[in-house]
Amino acid sequence: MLVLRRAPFLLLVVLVTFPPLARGQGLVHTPRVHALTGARIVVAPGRVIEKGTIVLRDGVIEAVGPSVAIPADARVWKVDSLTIYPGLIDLAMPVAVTPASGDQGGDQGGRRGASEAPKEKPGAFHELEVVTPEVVLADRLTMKDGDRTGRRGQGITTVRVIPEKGVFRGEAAILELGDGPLSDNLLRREAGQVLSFATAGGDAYPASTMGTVAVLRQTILDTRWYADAHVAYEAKPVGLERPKTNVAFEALLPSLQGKEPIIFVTDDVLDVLRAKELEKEFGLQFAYVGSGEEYKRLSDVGRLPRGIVVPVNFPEAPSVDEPGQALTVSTETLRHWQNAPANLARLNEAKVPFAITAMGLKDVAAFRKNVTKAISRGLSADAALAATTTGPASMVGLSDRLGTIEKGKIANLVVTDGPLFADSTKVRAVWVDGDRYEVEEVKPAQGDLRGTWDLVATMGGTDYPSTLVISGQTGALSGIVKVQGQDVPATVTQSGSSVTVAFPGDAIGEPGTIRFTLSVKGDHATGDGTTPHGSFTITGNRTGKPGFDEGGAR
Amino acid sequence: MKRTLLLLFALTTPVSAFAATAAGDPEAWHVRIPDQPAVVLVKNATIWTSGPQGRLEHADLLVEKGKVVKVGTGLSAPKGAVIVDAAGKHLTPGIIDEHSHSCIVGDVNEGTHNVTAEVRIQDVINSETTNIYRQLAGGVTCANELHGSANAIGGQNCVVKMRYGENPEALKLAGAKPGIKFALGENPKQSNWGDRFTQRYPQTREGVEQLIRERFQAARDYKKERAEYASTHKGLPPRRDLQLDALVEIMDGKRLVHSHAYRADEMLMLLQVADDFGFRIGSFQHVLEGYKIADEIAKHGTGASTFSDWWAYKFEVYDAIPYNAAIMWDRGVNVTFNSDSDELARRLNLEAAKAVKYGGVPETEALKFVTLNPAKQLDIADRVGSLEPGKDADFAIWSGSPLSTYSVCEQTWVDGRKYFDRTEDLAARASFAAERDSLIALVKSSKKSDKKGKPEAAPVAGPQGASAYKPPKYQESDGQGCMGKEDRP
Amino acid sequence: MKTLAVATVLLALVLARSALAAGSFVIAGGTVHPVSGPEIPGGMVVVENGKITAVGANVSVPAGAERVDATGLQVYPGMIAANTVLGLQEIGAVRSTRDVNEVGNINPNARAKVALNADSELIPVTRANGVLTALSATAGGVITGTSVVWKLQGWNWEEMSIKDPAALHVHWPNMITRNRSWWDEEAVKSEEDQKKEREKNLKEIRDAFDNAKAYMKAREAMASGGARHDYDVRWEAMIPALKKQIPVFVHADEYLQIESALEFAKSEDLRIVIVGGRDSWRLADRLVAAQVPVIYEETLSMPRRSWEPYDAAYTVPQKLQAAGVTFCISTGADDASNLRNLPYEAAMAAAFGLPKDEALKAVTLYPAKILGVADRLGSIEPGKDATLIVTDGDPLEIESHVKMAWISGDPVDLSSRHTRLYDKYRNRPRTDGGVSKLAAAP
Repeated sequence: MLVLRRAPFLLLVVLVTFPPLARGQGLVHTPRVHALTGARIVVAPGRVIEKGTIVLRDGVIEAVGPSVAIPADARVWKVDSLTIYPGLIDLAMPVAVTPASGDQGGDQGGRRGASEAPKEKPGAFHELEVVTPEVVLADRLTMKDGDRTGRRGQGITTVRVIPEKGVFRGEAAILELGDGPLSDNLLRREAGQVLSFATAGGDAYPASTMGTVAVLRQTILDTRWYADAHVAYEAKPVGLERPKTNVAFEALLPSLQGKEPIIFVTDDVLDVLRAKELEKEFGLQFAYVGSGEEYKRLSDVGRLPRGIVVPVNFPEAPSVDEPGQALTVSTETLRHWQNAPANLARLNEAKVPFAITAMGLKDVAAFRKNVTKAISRGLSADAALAATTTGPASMVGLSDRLGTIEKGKIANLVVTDGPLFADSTKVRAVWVDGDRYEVEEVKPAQGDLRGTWDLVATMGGTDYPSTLVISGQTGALSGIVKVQGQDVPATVTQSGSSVTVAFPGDAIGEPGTIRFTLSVKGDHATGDGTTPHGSFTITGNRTGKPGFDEGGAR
Repeated sequence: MKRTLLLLFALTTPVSAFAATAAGDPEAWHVRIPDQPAVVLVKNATIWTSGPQGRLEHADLLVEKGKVVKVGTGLSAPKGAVIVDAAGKHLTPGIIDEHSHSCIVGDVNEGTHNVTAEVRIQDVINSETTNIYRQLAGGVTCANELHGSANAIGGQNCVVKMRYGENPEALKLAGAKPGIKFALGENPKQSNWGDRFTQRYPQTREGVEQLIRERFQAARDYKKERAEYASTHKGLPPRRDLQLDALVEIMDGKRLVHSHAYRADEMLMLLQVADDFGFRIGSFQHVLEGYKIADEIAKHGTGASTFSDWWAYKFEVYDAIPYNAAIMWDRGVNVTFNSDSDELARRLNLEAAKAVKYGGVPETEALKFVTLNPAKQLDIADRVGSLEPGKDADFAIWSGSPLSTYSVCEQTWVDGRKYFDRTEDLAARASFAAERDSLIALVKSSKKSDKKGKPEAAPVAGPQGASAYKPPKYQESDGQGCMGKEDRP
Repeated sequence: MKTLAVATVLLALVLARSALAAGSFVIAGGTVHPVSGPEIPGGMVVVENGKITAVGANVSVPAGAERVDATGLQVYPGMIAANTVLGLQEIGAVRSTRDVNEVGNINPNARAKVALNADSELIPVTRANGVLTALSATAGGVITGTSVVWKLQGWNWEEMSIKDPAALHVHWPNMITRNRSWWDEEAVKSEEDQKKEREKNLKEIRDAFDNAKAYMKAREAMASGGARHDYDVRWEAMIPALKKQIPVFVHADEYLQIESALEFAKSEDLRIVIVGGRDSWRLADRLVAAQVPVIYEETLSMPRRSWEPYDAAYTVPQKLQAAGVTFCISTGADDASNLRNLPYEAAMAAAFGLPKDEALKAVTLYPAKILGVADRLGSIEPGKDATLIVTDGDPLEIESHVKMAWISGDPVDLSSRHTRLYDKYRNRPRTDGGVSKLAAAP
């Protein structure tokens, strides 16, 4: 994985945003006072300043209004004819938990038969691999650049990351999507316990959904018993056998006592109904992450006081062109293809507090487009904006700092050339914690650009041949540049039918990064690029298709 | 121009405007729950009550607010009552399938551990499956949803009514006696699962017995521990164990054991375990060698829920005979026929006919194998299983004798609501076809309008085809009724 | 002295039985259902040397013919199970009892006949309910072998075989890739892998037929004095199908599978029969035009698709019949333990629209025609085998019993493992002082 080093004089690598001058790095002391003038400012849903100014100082909004004095020390950005929104908040970004060093990976699940002893994991943890409430995701978080820049390109400035796997998954975290180390971006290290009905993998317990419910119930009972047992023991330890220690129960207890939120991740609407039964049984209240099919049993879903974070990964149109193929597409699939974009409107009508997430999208670049589609199917634009700003801010108790463009709040902004949720609008720049990130928005991928490309770069009259091999999958491409006898790993990003490639130049004796963008038509590509020494044009053809010549993708 | 706009409008209105109440809708959440008329009078049918009134010709059934009021001849109803003319038809109690996996979300087994009494089918009831509607179309009104047979001690069961359209909680038959699934023989000892499954204890019938006995002993000790603490409060409070809780309930007679078993030897074994720990087994399931120990089963008071004529699919069923039910019935056992199959569940009325064929069980007694007898085994006979005053109005109307292969189920009512009507089902098919056609047309036209960039087929990411949209767990994948294969390889 | 007397009596009985078997008898007094014509109340069926020689209300009876009294009973032709693994598999879960699936994809030379277990316990159970003839086929791979039509009573496969080879069997590959599979032990294959496999399988079929044709041509040339070509056991087994002497039974259920098979049959000029046929009604016109029959195995199965009507599988035979497709009804061939329920598949089709007389034909005359044995079986007509059943009611009704049966004029033993265990245990001494309500079987 390519680690981005931010040094001010290099051109930008790979992923499509240009990082700002660094904050917090010893060498750089660029002032962080900015004034954005002349823009249409959407302070909050339904509150618009037609033409105004925003002043940012050291990551905080200092002033906003139609006629605000511009401080003398401010760098002025004229943003006439552009619109500024509060940075969007995505409360459901699934992330893998980076294994701790020395972690043996999951055990096989405890056996509870007559003559088998459970396998041991190191540490005083729960015997089941799906019960890990002690995991603090913020301490085990590795963010890929693509994750950050992909969401940022959609205007998302703040995310709540949740662990991907397990029944009791551990603590979520809330962070800003700035470049830079986590310590700069972490807003809340412990943002709630994440629970779900996910089964364990392989042959481990629980392998069935009902098994996960048993694990949920037993673990909640065990945690409460654990607390009682330890209270009893501490009160009078003498003469009593010592109760076991279990880090998992200790980590889970505060959320069961209502001191911390519980975030329940669901895969379908029956999961929500099932979780509500658990709420009733144990006197708990969950904040939900939904699936997009809440409309199917909306009245049973009910009010959900802690709200629900809903994805917009609407199903793609099924293939129905041939009669034989159309037979395999069920009526349910057809209906859901038709109804899914209206799900948010239905939730809104039913007054269910909801937020919108980019979770589940194969291509994050489809986020705004899909929200726009939801608006065309009955969700008001204001409700959509609220569900991505003020709504999520309130759900996590950060309304004082996030969600609107108001004095004192964190300087998270999205700058667009039109209404945020409209197909023709582009996101021009995103401000995170008062640092500006320019955005070349990635368009949803079009076409398969993988394969072997024979290219020739022309610079200063000289031709430089090279071969570019693009592999991987759409949304997660990777590349190798074969140049001057070397195979150099390159980062590859697709936008529409163009691809941007970047690789370190030291392989060919260049300092810094070499970057070029190819526009592809069929098997022919043309484009241009830059090196620290100047720019070049580049052109070439695809000579090998992906898959077979690479030994087959499995 | 106007017409095109109107057409476009029509095509873009939400699909739920289409056929919102059409019978036979493949999506339960999409249907309207049928009304419960204040009074229903079904007239002039041959009524098989499965109760003391026996079988009556030219008889009427009077229903009020979902309950049977009376069965007799020449009954009358007040104005406004729904009258069903059933001349020439046969009326039976709704069929009760005592061994079903048709309405379960996800895996029917928690097959990782050999004892899983803590898992509960009631947590995973699938209200969205078309199985419910298709079984209504076969006269089924009630089913016992069971854990599979992968474990010697399996999970807790859940009795549901076929109230198609209701959410999972509303399907459950409130107040049904709790039960739990046990399994003996080749399945819990993993005989037929291949080379990967030879390590989990137990791998023999002897081991299965020891596992069960050990767990009941543990449950006894657990019960003692809790009782001690409750009276003395000495020491630390004991940990509540959901698995042992269920086993204690068995010993206290509060939870019925329904044990999958085939061979005479293993059933005798479990009868003795039950005697040793002081409880009565609710039923043996499949019980294909029950005829060999019919007296012992009758003496213990256990029910027998069996297949009519399946055999020879595993070695332990090589001695299965279709006369099994008749012999057990003859010896005083409460016998039922079950399906253990989404497919067979639709034809349990014909399974009953096999008890007539093989052994000559009288017709009205044979019908009880799928009506009153399962109600007794599940301890819900106060509410369902026969057409008697005070019981739920769960019934089916047939075009001819329910035991004739040429008969067709025409209507099925649950709680005095008509959930299935073949005439309405047939009438609604055209609108479903039209809905599909218009949706497919919409899909095609939407693809055309997306075509400016001409999206080519993008490669599928990941071995599982990690597309953006994942169908929900409860949506059938290919309607193969896989659940029924739990007990068959 | 006593021993001699006993021996004489036994000898007489044996001789009498064989005289009866080899000799003539007439079934009289019952209603005869020829299937090929209207029913004959009080009709007679004359059997001589294993063949039906006369059928009618009033026919002349040969001297010495024994009279079988069928008063109050019904006489039908024996039923025919058109695609089974009977005799090839005893217990599905016990591997050593299975001889159905050979390894490899191309097994045209797997001959079901040679593996038939004449004493399978499943055979008596099958014939006790009136199924007296079956086609048994192997099912390993894609081209799975040749099948045999055989009678369900006899001494060994050689003696029991009626037609061999009956058909060449091909299991058509799935045309639809699936993302999920139930009860899979290996990882689910990607869509790409499945597509590759499907194309590989189709190519495999095409290549096999092309190779077999080339082989046939070369061997014919060799026979007329041409160059020497070695014997190939696999291609040799395909020659009867290539010459259209026997049909190719294509096992296909889905629309695209059936469509693909029809196109293949046309391009290769083969005579095919669709076996399975769940979606066959959707292509009825093309089946009629190509004169392709259907052995429909799916009556008692769930609708394939969640959005199809609940009776989708039940109504296919009626649709095929109305469209003029040649068809018959069979059970599935996963195992052979309940072939005895064949008539109830037909009955369900009748309950859902197929005329009753067509339903009866669907398990008697129509399978005989499709299997190519209608000269001998499938109806009660002079010249055909005396393979008959006598019942106490409509055999398509569950409550009916088969009271008597013959195969090629030999009385059929209606007892089985089931009736023996029944007799043993219904007669277990009672401890409750009660009296049994059970009658002897059948």
